[in-house]
Amino acid sequence: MNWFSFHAGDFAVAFLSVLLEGIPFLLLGSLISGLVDAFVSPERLARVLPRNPVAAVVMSGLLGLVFPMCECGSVVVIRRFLRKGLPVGCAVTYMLGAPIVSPVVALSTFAAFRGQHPLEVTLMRLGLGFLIAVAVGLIFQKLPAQALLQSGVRGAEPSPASTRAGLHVASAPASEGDAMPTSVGARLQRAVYAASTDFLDVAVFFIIGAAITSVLGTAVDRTALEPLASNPLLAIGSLMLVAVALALCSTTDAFIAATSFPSFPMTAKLAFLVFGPMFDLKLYWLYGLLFKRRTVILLALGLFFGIGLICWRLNALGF
Amino acid sequence: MTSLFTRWIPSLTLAVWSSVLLGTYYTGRVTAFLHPSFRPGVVIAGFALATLALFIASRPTPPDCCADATCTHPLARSKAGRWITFLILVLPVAAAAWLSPEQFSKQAFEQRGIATDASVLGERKVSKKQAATVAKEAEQAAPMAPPAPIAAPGKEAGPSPTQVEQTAKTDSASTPAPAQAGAPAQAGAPAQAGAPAQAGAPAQASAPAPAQDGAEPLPEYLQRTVEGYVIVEVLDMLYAVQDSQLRKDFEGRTVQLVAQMMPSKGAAGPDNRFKAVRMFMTCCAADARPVATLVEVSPLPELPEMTWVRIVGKATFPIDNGKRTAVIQATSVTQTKPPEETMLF
Repeated sequence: MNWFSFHAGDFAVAFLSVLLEGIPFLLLGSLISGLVDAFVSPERLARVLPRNPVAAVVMSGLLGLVFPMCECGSVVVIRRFLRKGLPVGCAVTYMLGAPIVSPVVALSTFAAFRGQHPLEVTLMRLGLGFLIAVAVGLIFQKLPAQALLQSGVRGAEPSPASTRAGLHVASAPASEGDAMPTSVGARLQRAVYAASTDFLDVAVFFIIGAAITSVLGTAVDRTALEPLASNPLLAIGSLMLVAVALALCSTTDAFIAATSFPSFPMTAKLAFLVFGPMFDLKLYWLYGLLFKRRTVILLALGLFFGIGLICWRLNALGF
Repeated sequence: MTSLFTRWIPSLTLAVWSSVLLGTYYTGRVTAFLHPSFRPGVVIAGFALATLALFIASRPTPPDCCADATCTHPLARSKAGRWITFLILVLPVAAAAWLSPEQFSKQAFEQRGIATDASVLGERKVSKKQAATVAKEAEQAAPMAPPAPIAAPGKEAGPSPTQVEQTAKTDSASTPAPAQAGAPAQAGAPAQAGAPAQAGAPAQASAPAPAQDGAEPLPEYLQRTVEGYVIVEVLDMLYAVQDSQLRKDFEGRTVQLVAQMMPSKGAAGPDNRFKAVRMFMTCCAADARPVATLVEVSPLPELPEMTWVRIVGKATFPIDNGKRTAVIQATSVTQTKPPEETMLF
């Protein structure tokens, strides 16, 4: 079977549509990021977070319920918060959790699975997404931030004292570039600059990710997947790989999951819905803005096997 | 030198993006790429990007800026790769916006697996027609529920008096079952004043006489062409396969369908059939999937594959190899221009 054949016109349609769909959200994330940059000082951030590091991570995992953000936007915002000194554990928990643990996603999942146990699927998706995000956050918190993050993501290196407290909050900004302007006008101006920078920085990787996704999305024959549906492990693994390749937005992917793979078990669709918003081809590039390549790859593998095994176990339990 | 990369290039990049978004929106091309609910985002983002571009272009860069890694000016950080970054940002987007066709090729239709039944569509309330489907589901979910909640959605969905009658019957035509029809629904639905008519309902599918067209009043969510044909989309036909209530609204009527032609290779049934295909979009063209209904016509029209055609004929829902399908018994198949919205939602 000829499962791969590239067609330039189809590629262009898919590529442009992914850009048109994603860019408004990317811009929204950038604008929020710009406002955070200009109006949230590291000190204020440290005051808001719970002292207990585990509580801080758990809170970050639920933050998406209050500040819903799909995955394209959340990376931009989280990069800004990291620069402001947000602990890595909290940052990664919000980054992974917010695209799933959100009212928008709950509603769209519930709607998409109407007639296919919508309540169970929605609860499982949000619950599993939350648990995974918190677990990864707690692991990241134990690791040294310098080993995980790209250089330059942190505004300033944390002092040993604040690291020991569990909060890697940066000390007072060292460089002039990070000094907070005082007047509102100057702050807004700074917000606009920061938003533009963020947008252009992230857009580069978004374009690369969208292009790869569009090649795979249009050139690969999806009907070739069907034989995998009967084996639970293969079904779960293959749908997670499909999620990586398609790089859908988490607000709408449930509609695809509910309808595109009729012969696949429910647990495979669940794996698709939990893994997809946490890792896909465009996120590989976007995460690269925050984390070292090695971290991104290990994170992806960890999520893949972790979520895969949980869903496999659920399948064995008869979900 | 610095102002080129801190002021003019970023501003130009944002301006290009803005014009791509606004251009796509205002030329109407956006309809080919995005679901309606995502379109306002395009125009808002377009204006926001234009504002950012003007803002950055309007202000000179402070001379002491951009000396270290914390500088917040776009594209100013690394010397290497600035032009490459700029080109990545601008060229693919502009080229795709300029050159992209507005619909997928035949290859994309084939690769994505053309669905000819509604089981792969999920249940989405996408139009007034689906409201009927939704009401039906509510009944199916709770056939023993108290009467009030059952009756309410049924009334909303349409004026047809036999609405609630069809409860839980997935295949009324395959089994002549007048007894089952009455029991649960009527007991729970005294409000259905139209009930007497229901007794005859199960017979309807087995004999879809042409005379039936027009005999019953057309449900108000359906529209007619000037010639009096009922306008249907591929999705209506597929939902009707699943849903006996919808099926009743369409069956036997003379309908008009606009779709693209594809050969019906390998499918069971007579060889004078072709597939009438449309792309069905969930959020953007990247996730669109083809859906098709079968058309039976003799002789097969000699038109190239993927031609947009207007099909006029009788809607039928026969059972092929134990599986109900939607087939239009066409009386005419003529080439036509693509509809304004080439995608279905």
